[in-house]
Amino acid sequence: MVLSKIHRVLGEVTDADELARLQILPSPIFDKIARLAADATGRECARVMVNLKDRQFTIGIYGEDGWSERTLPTDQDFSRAPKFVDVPVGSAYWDVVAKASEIDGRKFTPDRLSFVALGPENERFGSLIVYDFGKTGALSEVVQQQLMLVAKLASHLIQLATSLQLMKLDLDELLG
Amino acid sequence: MSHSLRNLLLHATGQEVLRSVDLEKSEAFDCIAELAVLSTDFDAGFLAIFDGDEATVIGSHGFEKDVFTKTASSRALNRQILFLADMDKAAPNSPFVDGRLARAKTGLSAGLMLKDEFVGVLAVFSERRLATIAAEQSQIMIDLAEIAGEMIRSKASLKLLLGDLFSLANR
Repeated sequence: MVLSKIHRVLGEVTDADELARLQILPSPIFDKIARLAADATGRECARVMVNLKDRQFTIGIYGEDGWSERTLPTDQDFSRAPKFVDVPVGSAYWDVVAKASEIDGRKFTPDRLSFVALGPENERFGSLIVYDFGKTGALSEVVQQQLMLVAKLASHLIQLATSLQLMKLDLDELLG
Repeated sequence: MSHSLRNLLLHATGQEVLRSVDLEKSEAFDCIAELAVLSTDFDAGFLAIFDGDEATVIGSHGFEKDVFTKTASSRALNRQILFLADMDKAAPNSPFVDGRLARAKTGLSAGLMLKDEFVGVLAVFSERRLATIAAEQSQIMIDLAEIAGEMIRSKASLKLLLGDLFSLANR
């Protein structure tokens, strides 16, 4: 199993059942990653998401960010965003988030969001997003560094989990 | 499911899981150590696993040693979380205090658990004396140690599966 294939494998997944076969599901370990991200940035809410074919799927969450569903629509697509974004309301990357909140039909009014892409460039397989509801402003360089480290940890965990499950499926197939 | 993997998941002890994976120093574990240091505002830190009398460092930040004796971190053994505000007083003969490994005044550590067994430690230390630490800092250390445990479990399973695949391919 080549690790760089993970984004392609996840990118073919269309529903939660398929994802369940890979056993990439919401899990306490990814909730902890989200909490680490929130703690590192001093913000209330954070999410770890994987990019599927037609949606983004939350596998770890900390805090109540206003979205009740664990899946987000495709137009909430950060694949073309820079590797790291820390932006206030009204910025270029803000509209997609606002749209998602309207679709969900719930109030969603953070003041700022920070986004880190998970996975290598052109092979992104997920994202780590932290929301600021307390008008704490832009992240300092030190805090950005911490957030990038948390994102790196999330990437390692997703890669490990995905590789393991893909190999298990291959093995089961071989064993008939 | 393969016999070896089933054994790993059901019967193997934490120490057996560790031996099955033959861990080396890696970027992921360095990342855990660095996050621990930055999140707690200590000077340096490491993630080490125990085997026999030795502690092998598999991740570090600001700490250069690869191996040290397990007794050097004996106070941290079998503890979920341990804060030593005054290491000079609490462990005057420790190599982390007397300069053999470091000159730490304050230390914070979280036990690394595998299958309900303490198999290592995530530790940070500082040359400054700190009277207290926040509960959040302890929680971060516990979370990071748990994430490290999850990574080791996954790596062990992956390695065993790879071994099974090679065995099958060679039949």
